[in-house]
Amino acid sequence: MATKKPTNEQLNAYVDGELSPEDAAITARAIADDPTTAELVAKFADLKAAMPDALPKCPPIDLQKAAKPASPVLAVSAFRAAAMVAFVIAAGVMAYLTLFQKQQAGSWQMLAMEQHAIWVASDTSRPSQWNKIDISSAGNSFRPPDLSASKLTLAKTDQRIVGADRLTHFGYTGTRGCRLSLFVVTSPSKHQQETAASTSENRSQWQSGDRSYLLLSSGMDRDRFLQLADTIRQYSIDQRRIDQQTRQQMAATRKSALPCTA
Amino acid sequence: MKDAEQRIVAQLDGLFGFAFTLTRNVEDAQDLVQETAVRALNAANSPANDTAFRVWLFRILRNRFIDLTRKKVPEPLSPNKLAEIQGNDDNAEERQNITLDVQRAFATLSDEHRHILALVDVAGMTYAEAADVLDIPSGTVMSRVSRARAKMIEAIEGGNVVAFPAKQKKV
Repeated sequence: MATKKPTNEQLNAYVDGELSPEDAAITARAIADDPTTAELVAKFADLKAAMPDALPKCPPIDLQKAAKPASPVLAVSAFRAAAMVAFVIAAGVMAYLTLFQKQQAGSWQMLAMEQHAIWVASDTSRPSQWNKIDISSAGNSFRPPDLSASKLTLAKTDQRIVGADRLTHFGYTGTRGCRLSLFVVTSPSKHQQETAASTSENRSQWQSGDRSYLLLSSGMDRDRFLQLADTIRQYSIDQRRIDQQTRQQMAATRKSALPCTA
Repeated sequence: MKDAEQRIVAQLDGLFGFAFTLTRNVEDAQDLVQETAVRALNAANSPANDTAFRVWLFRILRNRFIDLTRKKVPEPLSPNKLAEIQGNDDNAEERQNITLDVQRAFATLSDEHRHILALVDVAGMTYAEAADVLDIPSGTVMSRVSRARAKMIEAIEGGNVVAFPAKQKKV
């Protein structure tokens, strides 16, 4: 190495402190003996020193808010995984029911909860009576709201018949694992408006005109869900585009919210 | 838990720099770092050794990014994007110019060259640590670092880099 010019790789390794003491000494001599090599090493070193300023700094992250009790790691076999998906779906439906501590959920709500739980669990093994539809044919002129300000994208539009009614499922996915389901049904029966949000399951139900709405999410930040529920409820009433101020509030709430845990 | 928090806080800038080179977007990078922190804090076990802990954190971040990109393609990193993001700095004019040059040159690199410089130059990793994070041999890290810096200098100076012989012998 003493007789040869060091390579770029060796010079960079020298700058990064990656050479052994012997190789570093040899490289240092080569640098001292050749101004061109010395100039190149200086460029590499300057570049290395300038790099930390070239990338944006980390915005504040609240780790206290992020911290949650540690959960035990489960070793899951493929067989167990299938059983767990079924359990998660059943538990999801039960969680929504117990959340309200009422046994008033009608058949369409039960179907909606089950559909949401299946979607969250990504269980494709079950036979489904839900049919994918175009938004334009979703019927009853309801258009799903644009929730992009909260980084939620409409990813699923399904429909099924329940008695004489059409039950439509609008499924939104977030960039951090969130899944939000909006169910719409044209129903003559009146439903009391109610919202409940917990640390794991969130649900909001309301009526506007001859339609009933059910909004479900699992593991979403409580404040974010409550704001989304308010926004979508208002949208369902006036059917106007969500205004700029509300969109900014949605973006701010989403930014300060923890990623979904479901 | 406090100890884990302190260890994560010490790595936030490095994690964010790496996340930014992966996502090419400040918001997505912030989400990725936050998710990484959540996962790390909620993990049942984490490495006690500081070096292993750092590599473990960066691997969580990278694996999560890979999961996410199965669904979404990151937007291209335009040469002026970094400069726009850093535009609020109150640095001296000369330093700003150097930073702008470096940012523009960085934006011209390939993904693998950007990732390696984010780990080695911004996060301050050794070649062995960067190799662990990226699942590549240390020798590959060495050659990527060298090529990446040569390309950056070339971009900054318009090709005014002396071509030294490419070596294959391990040092």
